[in-house]
Amino acid sequence: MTGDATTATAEGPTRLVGWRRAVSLLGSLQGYIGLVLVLAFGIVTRGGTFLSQSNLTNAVGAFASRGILAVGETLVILTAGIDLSVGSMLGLASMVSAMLLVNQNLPPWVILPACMLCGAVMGLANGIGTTWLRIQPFVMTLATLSVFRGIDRQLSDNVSVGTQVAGADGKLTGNADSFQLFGTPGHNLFTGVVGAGVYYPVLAFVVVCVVGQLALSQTRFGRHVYAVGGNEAAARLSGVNTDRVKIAVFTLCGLLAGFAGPIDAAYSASADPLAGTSYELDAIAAAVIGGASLAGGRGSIVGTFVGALILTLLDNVLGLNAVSDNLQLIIKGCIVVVAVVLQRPDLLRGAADFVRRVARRGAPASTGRSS
Amino acid sequence: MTGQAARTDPPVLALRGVSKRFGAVQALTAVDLEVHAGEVVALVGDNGAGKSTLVKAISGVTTADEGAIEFEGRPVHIGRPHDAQALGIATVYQDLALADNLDVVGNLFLGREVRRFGVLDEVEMERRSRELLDTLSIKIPSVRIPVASLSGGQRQTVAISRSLLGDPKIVILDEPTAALGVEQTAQVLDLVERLRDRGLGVILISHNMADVRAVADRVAVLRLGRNNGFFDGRGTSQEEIISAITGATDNAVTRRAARSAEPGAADADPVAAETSGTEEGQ
Repeated sequence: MTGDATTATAEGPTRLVGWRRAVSLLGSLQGYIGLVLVLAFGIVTRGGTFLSQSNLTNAVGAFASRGILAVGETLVILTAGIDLSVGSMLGLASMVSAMLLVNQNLPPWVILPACMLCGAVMGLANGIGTTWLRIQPFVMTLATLSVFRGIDRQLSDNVSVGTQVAGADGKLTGNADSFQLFGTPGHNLFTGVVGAGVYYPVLAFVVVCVVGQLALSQTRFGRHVYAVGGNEAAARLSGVNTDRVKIAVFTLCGLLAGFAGPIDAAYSASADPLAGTSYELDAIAAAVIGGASLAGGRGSIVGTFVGALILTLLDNVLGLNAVSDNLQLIIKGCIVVVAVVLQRPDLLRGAADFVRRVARRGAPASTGRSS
Repeated sequence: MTGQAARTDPPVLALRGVSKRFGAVQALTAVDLEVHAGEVVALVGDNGAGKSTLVKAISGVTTADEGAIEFEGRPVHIGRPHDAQALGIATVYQDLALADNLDVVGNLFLGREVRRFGVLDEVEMERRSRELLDTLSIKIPSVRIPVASLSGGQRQTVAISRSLLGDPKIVILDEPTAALGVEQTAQVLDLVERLRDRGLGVILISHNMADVRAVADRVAVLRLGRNNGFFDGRGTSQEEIISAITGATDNAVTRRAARSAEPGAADADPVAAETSGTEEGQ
């Protein structure tokens, strides 16, 4: 999203000036085009329904756990790594949260840190595997994707655990009731006072994004994350402990997956042994749509936030328009390709050059520009 | 062998009898090297002569098996890159110096970011970046553009000026002009001279004899891991240095030079004349 707007000269036929302006504008707004298009599509086709508070809240809330995964995924991708195990980590964390609630009857404020710790340990394992054992991140996290899922299923004996625990009186226990606040639809972020009306998944996602973005742009750690992704050898020779940075991003990614686990469990009102399957693909897609490069060093949390919004609102809009699931999958895939192509500044520069050439050919009698 | 005894003041950095072995390969054998303040020492040698190993031993990437390193007259041990940096030895690696995706300020302060209350102090870092680049008369379009958009020469000057932030006494430049154009090479050589004028000791590794003769006060030649002569940077002909690098006057470079030079010049060196006679037609 750097301002790589092409410099279009003001001379030339007026009909094409507009074109060139449009191309350079596209260049500077690359990251937001998709979001604007999706919003426009939603408003045009299903105006009132789409824009209603409850619809938007539900749309974002349904995606919140995957959005939080995408933030962690972005950190890893920025260092030129990848984490395929986030879905499994989320699944295991959601199972741990449900079992702590059902078997131990722990309050949510104990469950949440416990799940985050659990996720952090899993992320640490990924980080150690990729640095000390020098396993490629793709391979290491492919392995742990399988391992963590296996532990999840072993732990639950392949049976999902409901989180709506009833007490002796037939009502929800106090802890189960407060656990529901993590994700039950119906609470609305945009109405009521804080505490009563806050829709936790949306709030959690936004807070994670803000904290993540600040950490990346304002701290030494964030600078080192970008440096490791940009040129690992240079970072190491500059005194950056590159192994520690990589272990840190994997651990943070796991920690965020652990944070998202209870949200997912509460949202579904149960922890399924298969919860989070293929979430890693949504997380990676959100990061990539948001401008992250798998080669590392390029991307931001703001971008990932926008990417996640595009994905979730697209889902929502297509759902509202009763587009079939199969078609939705195809459209989502195409969106990823279009987003990646749009975010290449050289492509837009090439398009601008093309427009300029056409302009010259179209008006050979105009000024003799040589460039 | 003129340059070695020319200076009487103690050297900033002195290597005495440094040896290094990698398995069956003897990379360095009893190598000596002295660098004084305000002096550019060119380190030359053929591929595999041990230049890189020697530089790695000085900068702490590897450690020497034998021999002593003295810094400002004191014997020191350099076990890791941090030790060298702490002493005041900065190394600029050819291709590995900069992160393309960071801007000039980000690269200059990478690994030593200035912080206020735990948060990056971008204003202070930018101010000090401009100051540093100004004192070195380096022209960069903006300190806030990613270094990927700089020219090769500008990148190299940023990489070199970056090494000065730690206030070093010795700067090691590994092939700073490789892959640069004529204009850009001149920019970098100008900067090397400014480093010398600031009183820094500079070790310049280069394959380019024109560069070496342009800026070097002394030339240290390595051959097969051993010292093979020290030369005065300006009073020595290119042929003499190349002879020392290749280890003999009888080699493809001198034969070619002898053939292309006028007959009188070739006769001045009896060995070259003799061998070029016996191996005529090659």
